Formats: sequence, C-alpha cells, structure tokens
Amino acid sequence: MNLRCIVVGVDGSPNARTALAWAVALAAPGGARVVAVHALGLLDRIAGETVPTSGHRAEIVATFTHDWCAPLDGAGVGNDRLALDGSPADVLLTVARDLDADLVVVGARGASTAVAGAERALGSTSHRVVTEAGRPVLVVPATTGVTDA
Amino acid sequence: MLILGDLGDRDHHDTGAAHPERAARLDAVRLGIADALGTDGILRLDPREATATELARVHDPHYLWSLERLAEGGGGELDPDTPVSPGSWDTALLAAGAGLAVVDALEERADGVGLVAVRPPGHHARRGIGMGFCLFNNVAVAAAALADRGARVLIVDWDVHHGNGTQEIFWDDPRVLYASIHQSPAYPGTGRSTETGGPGAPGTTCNFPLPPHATGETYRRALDEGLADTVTAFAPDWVLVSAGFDAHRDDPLADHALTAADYAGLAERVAAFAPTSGRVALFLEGGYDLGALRRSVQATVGRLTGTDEPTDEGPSHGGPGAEVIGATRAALARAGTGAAP
Repeated sequence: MNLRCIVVGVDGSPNARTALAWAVALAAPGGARVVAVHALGLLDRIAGETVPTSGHRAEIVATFTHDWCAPLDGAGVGNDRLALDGSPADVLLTVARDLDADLVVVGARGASTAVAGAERALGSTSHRVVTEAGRPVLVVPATTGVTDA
Repeated sequence: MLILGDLGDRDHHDTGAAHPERAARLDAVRLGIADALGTDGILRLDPREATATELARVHDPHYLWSLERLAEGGGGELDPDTPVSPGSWDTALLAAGAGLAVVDALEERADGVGLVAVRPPGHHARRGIGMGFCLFNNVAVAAAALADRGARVLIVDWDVHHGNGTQEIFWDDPRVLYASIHQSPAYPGTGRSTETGGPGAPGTTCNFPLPPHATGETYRRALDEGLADTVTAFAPDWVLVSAGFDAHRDDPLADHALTAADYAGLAERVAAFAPTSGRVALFLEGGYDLGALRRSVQATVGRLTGTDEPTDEGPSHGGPGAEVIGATRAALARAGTGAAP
C-alpha cells in the first residue's frame, strides 16, 4: 500500500517527538507527505498571568515550525507545518479529514496530564482521534523509538 | 431590577495562579455591578446546583460521569487550556444552576434583567467534552430548559471567541437561534459565515467572523444589518446572551478593539430583540483584563437598568470586517432565514 499523506500531532512533548519520527520513517519509503499539526489553545495567547500576548503566540508558532519540526529538515520527505486554533483532538481530526489523510500519527499522551482513568474516560487526544478519525491511526508511546520497530 | 445569579462564597474552581480564567474575574464583575447600581436594584438569588436531568439536556451522561470522577480523583485537565480541580465539579454545578435560577426568577417576575455572574464559563463546552476553560455550557443548559417548556430562544454570543459548544448543541434544533460575533482567525477555529445550521434547523445558526482589530461599530452593524431580520422572522420568546467581554481592546486573549461603551450599545440592541420585559439574561463568558471587565460590566448593567452615565471610554468606530456582514446575510438568505444583502 502506498501512503500519500500522513498527519502527525506535534506539541513539543517527548511523545510527539517520537510520533514525528515514526511519521517520517513511514513516509520516506513511498514518498508520502508528512503534515505536522500543532493546536493553538487559548493559553497560547499569554506568557504569564497578565502579559499580552500575540507575541507569545508567534513565539510558539516559530518554536513549532523551527524546533519541534526540526526532524523534518533534511529528512527527505515533503512536509507541511500547520499551527491552527482549536483543541488538539479537534484540530487533528479536521486536518486529517480535510486532507483525506491515509494515516494519523499521535503520541499516546501529549503535553497535558490528567488522572489516567478519568482521562481515558473523558477522551484524551489520542483516544478521541482513534475513535473519531474514521481512518488508520498510529498511537505511539514515548518510549517506543523507530529503531524498535 | 438586576436579577443576579452568582456563586456566593462557593467558588472552588481552582485553575492555578497563572491562569487568566481565575476567581478574581468575579470580583471584577461584582465591582462593575456596584459601580453601576450601588447596592440598590439588585435581587441576588441563592445559588443552587443544576440537576443531572437539567445537564443531560445538553451534555452526554458519560461526560458528566467522567468529569465528576476526574474532580473526585484530585483533578487534572481536559486539554492544556482547561484544568479541573477537586472543587470544579461542585462549582460547575452551581454555575449551571445559577442560569436556571435566573431564568426561573425572570419568568415569574416578568420584569428585570438577568445576569449570571459565574465561572467556569460555558460556551466552548461541547455535548461530550469541555474545552477552552469551559466545563458545562451554562447558557445552553438554560436555553434547553426554556425550549423544553415550549419557548423559542435566541442566544446572542458576543464573546470574542466563537461559541463552538453552543453551536454544536443547537446545530439541528429549530427552537434555538444561535448568533455569534467573534474574531477569526482565532480559537477555536470554528464559526464561519457559511455555518448556518443543520438540516433540521437551517438558518438558525448565524456567524459573524470578524478579522483582528474590528471595532464596536462593526459589532453594532452585525446586529442591526446582519441579524435583525433573522431575529424578527424567528420571533424569540427569550433572549440569552453569552456575554464575554474579551473583545475589549485591553483584553490579552484577542485582538478586537471594543470599549466599555460598545458593550452598552450591544446590550441595548440585544435587549430590544426580546418580545417583552423580563426575558433577557446575560451569562458571563470570557473577559480577562480585570479593569476592562469591571468597566464593561458597569456599562452593560448600567444601560440595561437605565442607570448608565457617559464615560471617557466612548464607542469605537471604523476598523475592518464590514464585508463579513454581507457574507453572513448571503449565507442566511441561502438557508432561508435572512434577507438577501
């Protein structure tokens, strides 16, 4: 099977770094395009309790584009880097649907934390993507490097 | 008379010291009310919790069960924006209950203006998951209760962020007309002009996604030129307002340029959509600059209760976004509930 488009969630967490490595590894053999996606939340507007703001948002977008997505540089795969407003699950689901992605890759747990059982019940990002994407989803634990595959 | 629903001293929703959606916001609202009215002309209702049945009109029981467990277990977060503390469940029940108490009191009195001054806010909360600082969709809980009694409900959402949760909940419900004026692009990424409702309720969702730096003049035109015809055709029995004050020019979470006086003008227009007195209730949503929040609440409450006085912070004019009004009118006309632009 030839993969054409792989969407991967990137939020700066160790899990997301591993997810991005998996996306690149899966894309390279068949020439699939990797679309790295970061969700901008409300708190991405502010750097502290009262500090405005849009400057901090720009910093996050730059960090996502240049630092978190650095593994895409020179990886030999076509790629896009999208920072979009919304909740992480909603943004991933929307991009995957709009691009008709062949595969979504997401870290088992991103930057957020929660009580594990309740988080699963409420639907963590990975859980929601698995259940709502309607397409193949690869959930990557942080401890699983591509060389383990 | 201001019919006030609040949390009293039972706000135990702890978002942390650095979070902009914090308890001090309610102090700012109290000060704004006092600036407008002093201590007279306020009927403060006793807080009461929303029941499971009342919440289940707009939220999945599975979400309610899970959120309660998360709070009981010490808390966590629904997403990076939305913390849950041990006291969040009880506080959210009171927040949703306050809205129900206010509309009940208004219905009984058939007079006055309601203000639901609570947190956490609600309009991002979807049927199956909270997000964007919101746990329960407070305005939706009240609107659904009214709709189940046979009322037609208009919800005007002037928070600077699109109320994706409210839109989703009433997307295919012809009993509720949802209209939002918001910044775009911005969180949560929804609310395009072309989003006008589901097949069972075409034209009952109206979105005015205005670009950064939009002013109060464009908000006023959205109501006067973009929405009024649709509201007249809908003929609401009630007007509920998702009253965020984060489109204020001083707010750190967005880029619109409204002033306190602009909110007074919006409140006056929205109240005129109600068919009779005692059928307007405002629900606090966003607003994160405490000074701007206080001044905006003062101006809004003052105008709605007829006690306002001119301030230095006059209405704003000009700015971008007028073309959005025509785009939304065109979308509503295609859906069958608006006049062609």
